[in-house]
Amino acid sequence: MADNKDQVASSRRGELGAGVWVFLMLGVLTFGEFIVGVIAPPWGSALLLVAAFKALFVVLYYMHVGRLFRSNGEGH
Amino acid sequence: MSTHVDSYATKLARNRLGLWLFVISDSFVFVGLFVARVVLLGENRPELNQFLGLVVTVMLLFSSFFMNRAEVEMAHGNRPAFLRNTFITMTLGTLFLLGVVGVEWQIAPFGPGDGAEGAVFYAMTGFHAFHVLTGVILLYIVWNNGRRGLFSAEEHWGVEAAAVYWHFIDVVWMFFYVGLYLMGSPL
Repeated sequence: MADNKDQVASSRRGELGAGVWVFLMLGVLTFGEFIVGVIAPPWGSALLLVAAFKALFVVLYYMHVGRLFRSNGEGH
Repeated sequence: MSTHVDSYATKLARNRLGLWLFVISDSFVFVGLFVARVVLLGENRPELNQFLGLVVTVMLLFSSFFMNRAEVEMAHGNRPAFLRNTFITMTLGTLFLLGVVGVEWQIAPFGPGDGAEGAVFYAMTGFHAFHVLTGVILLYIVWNNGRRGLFSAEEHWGVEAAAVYWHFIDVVWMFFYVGLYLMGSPL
């Protein structure tokens, strides 16, 4: 019983921690985009690649697209 | 009991598929708007306040972070934390709306009828803002249902659906932010 509680608490910590890491990465990339966009506008188009990279992380870790491919109802 | 659990799991799988089909179909409209921006403005961009663009973008980023926390907390049965994080998400979404519609629209040096620049800017931000507004309303419904105890750690599809929709809005803005505020030289 206690083990189960520990597992749940550990899983919660892990999921919250992953959310923080993704957020920090998105924040750094967004700030980097801003700097490039302000000082080197001709490079702006390349920023679309950065945006695509950021979007991929959100789709994978925040939108949990992987749940779609699990068997019925797995994952919360 | 087992039948109930099975039927919820089946419904959940079907709901997820339906939601993602909606997200994909909705994204086609945003792709269309972005293509219109590329075709009509090319290597130029509307003359906008880049710092304000960064501020509203960071707000939306924070809101996605808190929405993710809200979903994780509900999945672990922590209702007070779910309610708190959902409320913060709603607040940040509202601030984003105020930043774009209440400030950026007012200070932009062009109107919706002022050529391609105005048409592109107001169509892109307007359509996106409408999605943010519906997202905030959806979050309020989910928050209220959570307050009434309608979700549990095992059954909280409404929370998951609202979270996916909210993150989708964030993903769209990641591209719109680059297209409107960073890409090319100001007109």
